[in-house]
Amino acid sequence: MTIRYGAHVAVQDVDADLPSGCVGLLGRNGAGKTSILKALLGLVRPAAGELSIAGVPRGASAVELRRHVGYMPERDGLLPGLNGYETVRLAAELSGIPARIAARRAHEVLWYVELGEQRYRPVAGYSAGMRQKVKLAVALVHDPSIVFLDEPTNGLDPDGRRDLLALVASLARDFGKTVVLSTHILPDVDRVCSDVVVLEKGRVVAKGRVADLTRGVARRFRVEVDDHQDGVCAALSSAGALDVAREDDQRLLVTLPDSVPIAALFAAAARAGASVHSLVEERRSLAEVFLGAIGDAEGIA
Amino acid sequence: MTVFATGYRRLTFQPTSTWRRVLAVASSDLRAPFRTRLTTILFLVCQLPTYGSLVLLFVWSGFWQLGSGRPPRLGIAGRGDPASAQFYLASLTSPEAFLATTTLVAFTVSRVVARDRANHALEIVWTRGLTPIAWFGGKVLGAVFVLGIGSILAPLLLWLLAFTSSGDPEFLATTLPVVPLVILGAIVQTLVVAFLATAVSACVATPNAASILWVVLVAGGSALARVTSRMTDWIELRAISPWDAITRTTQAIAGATPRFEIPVAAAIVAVVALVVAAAFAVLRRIRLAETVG
Repeated sequence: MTIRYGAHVAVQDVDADLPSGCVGLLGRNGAGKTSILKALLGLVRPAAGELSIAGVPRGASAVELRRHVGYMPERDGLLPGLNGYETVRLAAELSGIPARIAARRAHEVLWYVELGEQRYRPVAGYSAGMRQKVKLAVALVHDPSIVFLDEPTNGLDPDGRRDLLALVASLARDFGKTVVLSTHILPDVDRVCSDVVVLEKGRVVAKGRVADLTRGVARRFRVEVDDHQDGVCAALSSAGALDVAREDDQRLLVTLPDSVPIAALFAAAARAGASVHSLVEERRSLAEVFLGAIGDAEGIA
Repeated sequence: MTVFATGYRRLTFQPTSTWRRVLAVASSDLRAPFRTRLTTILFLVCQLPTYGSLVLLFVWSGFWQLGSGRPPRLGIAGRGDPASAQFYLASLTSPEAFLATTTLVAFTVSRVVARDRANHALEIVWTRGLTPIAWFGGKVLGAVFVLGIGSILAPLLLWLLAFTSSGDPEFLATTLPVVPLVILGAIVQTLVVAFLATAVSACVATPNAASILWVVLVAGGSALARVTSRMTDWIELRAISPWDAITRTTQAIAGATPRFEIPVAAAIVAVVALVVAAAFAVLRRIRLAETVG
């Protein structure tokens, strides 16, 4: 898919599947995240390529597309003067839900996001966390198959952030929704997302499962042994380890190729007469993946 | 069955028509003036022309006996006579109506779109199952509902009250040709005022700016028209006042005696030009691009 605004190319040749589950959409400001969102909502038409949502006929109108997409904006885009219930009910009716069902659904969704007790209070008096929750309720009220959350944990305290992320994770895990999480807070993505798409200057520079991306090209383990470090190092090298480095008297950093199983590590320690006290797989952080992907993209450019 | 603790549930529904969605916007806006005590009081105060007509109706029907027992002297012919169109048009075209409508619109209708824009609410409403223009239509309809209480419903109720209190079949025969035209005029005036006020609201960024622009348009336009027509002795120039042009059109439809002899053609041309200009401004300003920042 390519999206242009006049001569400016906002998104170029983006080819990505958003599977059901929680997908992190990462990128710096101007990377093209919002343009993709606009295309999802039918607000802009791609200049080339197409975008399809499972269950929605190709060529469906923008209004039809929006029935299947829930959007939680970053800004406090709430209707002035309304209470929580009225806000969610109006959003439901604007999504085409008949008035009686909309009323019931608004109550249900507000209870789901844990605002049941506060639903008749004016939204203007809500705390930051409550506002985020009412926006989530608005995004969910018409039961969309894709939910796009733009910076959902902005301005939340640690408790509020944990609660909201738990709700987000539950949507993907328990209800099979595709939840697209657009955020700059990488630990949030790490916590709830199974997949990630990294955008830079309108192009996809990395995508895949978080577990695969953070693992990197080889497996690294931090191994703690009680003694006989020299022997263990020699045994590991002969067992096929790519690299063995001493961190201190007890810890080694071992890099194994995919062909060597972890069991070989224990066997090598046993041959050297040492016992393994702990073994932890070292992973790259999501921030490293993100910065690495962006750095690679800049290098290519 | 209670709704709490049901958890998240799948939802199946037959989508409603665009009209029902537009109506949802309008009915929400109809409730807006009554959400705070201040705007409720303001709304009630702005119905003063109707209360005045109600008092005159009570005097006319003999429900209230004034000192001499004679009808009070009124500056405008027919103002105190429920058998004339002028009586019902008081809440639409009188100087009190000008003041009341300008104030009510400035504090309610002219702010609706600008307030949503300033609160980033467009991101919520335009990313749902309604096009921005249909949503704007809902806002205009909501404004018609709010203004129509005083301008359409009130004259109709006054007439029903006059009819039931007179107990005279001749009253029905006299007023039946008059009242439908009055109501038609009221509908046209309400539609035009609601559209212009909502358009003003749609063209600016903040609700306060919208209120000021509305007052400048109506009160400023009226003052300008008055001055220029006096200076030039050209009565047609009164039509550059949106309020005078609209009320003259209403009076022409209702067949009532005008307060100022503005030619009907000039008034209609002015109203049409205003509406067309406002529609163009709205089409340029209401853009999907401002939905998601």
